[in-house]
Parts: sequence; C-alpha cells; structure tokens
Amino acid sequence: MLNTKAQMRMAWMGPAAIFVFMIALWPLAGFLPPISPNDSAEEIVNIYRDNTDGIRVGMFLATVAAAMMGPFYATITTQMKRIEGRFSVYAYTQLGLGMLAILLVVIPSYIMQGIAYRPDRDIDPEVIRLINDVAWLPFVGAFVTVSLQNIMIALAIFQDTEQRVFPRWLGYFNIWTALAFCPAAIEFFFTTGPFAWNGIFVFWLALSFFGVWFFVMFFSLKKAIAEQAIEEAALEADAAAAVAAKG
Amino acid sequence: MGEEQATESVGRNGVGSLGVAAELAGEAALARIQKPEPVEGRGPVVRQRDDGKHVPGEPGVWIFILGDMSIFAVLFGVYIVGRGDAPALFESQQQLLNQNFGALNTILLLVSSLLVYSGVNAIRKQDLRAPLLFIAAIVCGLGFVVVKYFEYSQKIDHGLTPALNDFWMYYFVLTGLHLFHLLLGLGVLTLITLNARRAKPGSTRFALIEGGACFWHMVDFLWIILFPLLYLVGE
Repeated sequence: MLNTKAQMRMAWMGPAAIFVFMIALWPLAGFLPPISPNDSAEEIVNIYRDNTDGIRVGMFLATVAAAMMGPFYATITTQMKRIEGRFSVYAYTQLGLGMLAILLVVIPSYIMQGIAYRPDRDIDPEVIRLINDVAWLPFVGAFVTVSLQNIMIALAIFQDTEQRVFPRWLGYFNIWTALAFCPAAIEFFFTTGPFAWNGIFVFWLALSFFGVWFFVMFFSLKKAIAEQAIEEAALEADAAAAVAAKG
Repeated sequence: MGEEQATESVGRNGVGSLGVAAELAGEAALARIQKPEPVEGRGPVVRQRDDGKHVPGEPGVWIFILGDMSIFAVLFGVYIVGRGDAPALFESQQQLLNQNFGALNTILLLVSSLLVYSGVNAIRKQDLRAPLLFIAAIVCGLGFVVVKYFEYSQKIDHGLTPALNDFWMYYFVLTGLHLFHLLLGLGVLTLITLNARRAKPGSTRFALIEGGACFWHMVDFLWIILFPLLYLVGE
C-alpha cells in the first residue's frame, strides 16, 4: 500500500513540472511564441537585453521543471516493470532515455543563461545569434530520445497481452506520438516558414503532441497505480484469511 | 496469454524440432513462475463485437492510423495555405514536375495495396501462398523508392532544391515525410511476410498482421491525396 502511495506522489510531479515549465516559458522568459530563427542578429541581442531577468529566472525554472519530470518517468518505469518483471529491458531503456531528455532541456537553458549573463557584451551580434541557434535547435528539436522512449513504452505494453497494467491502445498511442515528433528533424534545413524551429510544423506541433502525450500518460498511470493498490489489498486480504484459517 | 501460447507452441511443434518445443515449454513455465497471480486485466486483445461486425486489426491500431493521418491533414492544410499566398509561383513551379513519375508511383502503390489485401485474405483461408503475395507487395514498394530516387536526383540536378522557393520546400518535405512512412511500411510488410504462415485467423498474430496491412493501406491512401495535390491541382 505504501508503495502505491509513493508512486502516486511521484506521478503528480509530472503535472507540477508542466505547470512550472509553462510559467517559465510564457510570462517569464517570453518564449511563447519562440524567438524566430529569421530575426536579425541585432533583434536577438535586443531580446536578451530587454528581458534579461525574465530570461534568467525563466530558464532557471525550466531546469527545475525538467528535473521534476524525473520522478514522473520513474513512475512510468515502475509500472512497466509490473508488466516485464525482473528482466525489464524496455523499462530500463525508457528510464535512461527519459533522464537524457531532461538533460536536453537543461543544457539549452544554460546556454541561454550564458547569453543573458552579460547582455551588454561589446561583440559582433552574429556571435550572439550563433549561440542562440545552438540553444534553440535542441531546445525545440531534440526529439529522438523522446521518440525512442515512447517506442519502449509501446513495446512493453504490447507484451502485456492480457492488458493487466495499461490498455493496449496506449501502446499504439505511444507509437503514434513517437512518429509525430519525427517531422521536427526538418528544422535544420529552414530558417523561415512552417518548417523552421518556430514554425507550426515543428514548435507548435511538438508542443501540442508532448502535451497530449503527457496528459494521456498521466491519467493512464494514475489508473494503473490505483488498480495495483486494489490488487495488493486483495492479496493482503487473502493472506490474512489464510493465516486466520490456519490459526 | 497462456492458452494462445499453448496452442502456438503445439503449432510450432509440428514443424520444429523437439528442442524448440522444450524451450517453449520452459519459457511458458518461467512466465508462470514470474506472474503467479490470477490475471485480472482488460482481457484478451482480440474480441468479437456484439453486432458481429469486424474491426480490422485491433481497435487500438486505429488510434495510431487516424492520428498519423491527422498529422498529414495539418501538413496538407499548411501546403494549401502556402499555395494560396503565392498561386502564380506554385503554378509555374508545378509545371516542372514530371507527372509520369507520380502516375507510375500511384500505380505501384495501388497494385501493392491490392496484393496486401489478397495476402490477408489468403491467410484467412490458410493459403500457404500468402507470403508470396506480401513479397510481391514489397517489390512494388521498393519500385516506388527507386522511382522516387530517380525523380529526386533529376530535380536536384536541375537545381530544384528545397532552398529554391516555397514550392520545392513543400514538395520535398511532403514527399519526404511520405517516403519515410513508406520505408516504415516496408519494414512492417517484412514482419508480416515472416509471420504470415504462422498466423491463425482470430489470433493476436493475425490481428497484428491486419493492423500492419492497414498501415500500408494508409501509406497508399496518403499518396493518393499527395499526388493530385502536388502534381495535378491547378488554378
């Protein structure tokens, strides 16, 4: 019983993380809509100069939010292990990739902190634009770990032919989201239009898909944990009854 | 899981060696040791509908297929909006496309879809020729890739690259994303071919094959939209 309560607590870290991330990105850093790759170097320097403290606080909170996703991914792992048992290669791969995904938010955040650290640098604005590119390309487009993580979840669910932990459709759902993130790979080829990093087909689609994926996973997790609690309570009751019958 | 694994291991027993059967029995025993509780899940994957109708594959696969098609729907919408912004440019650039390549690919995909459909039917009748039909479908799919390769290299040789203007950006992104799905589809068809002989109608394996076939039909269907949208639409 204690174990399922701990899992439920860790699962709730997920929505908290999303909340903190939205606060960081939207009102604080002002990155919704994101900085455009089509902006001139001077415009980009001005963005960091005008909202220096907002970006500093916002990007720090982004790292906090990213770290808070750790417990959420670990809860997914725990439920996957209910399917896989002790030798759980999918669960471990999922966990490792989830933790890497955290790093892929933390590193770009720190690169942006680097620009905001001395906003009045007397250097060529093109250099600032380059560093801004280095931060934004992975910030938006580092989907590979997430895609593979989703596939791991799907593979584990497909093993569970009795659908004890997760419903089967959740496996197909994860395959879908894994594929839905892939178009983000075209961001490297365009600095403007729907396929640039701030375009509808990269930033907005990835953001909405991550949101949908997250909440579907969260509610499925909550359900699976609640069912585990009931299952364990029944087992305990059985054990108690057996002891009583013996005595 | 228990029942189906048992029947399948019997099925394999007929063709395979005793060693394989023993290994399978060992696996099943191990599975029983690791999961001893009476399993109370949502039940088996393949279920009969009350009204006697049949959903191809399993219901879950349609979340994936319809979801994936909705991404393409967004992409087609973005293309139509982009075309509306510069109709003259799109009109003139479209003339540079070779409709023969597009038409040939359309035929290849339609034939492959028909072959996949026949293949699934063959499995239903337990016809041993089913894998051959799937292999023929794979050959058609590979033909599509070859045609696409010649089409792409011809365009790039003429300096028509995604960076040139919006039309070619859309052309390469749309057909490229479709090609990516087609390559995934070829992987799916390969898996189907390998499993075709062992699939019994009504089993989980058969449901997976049906689901994979639906994915291939989706790849075909998307091309049927993509072809007129890119090559034919005028005004």
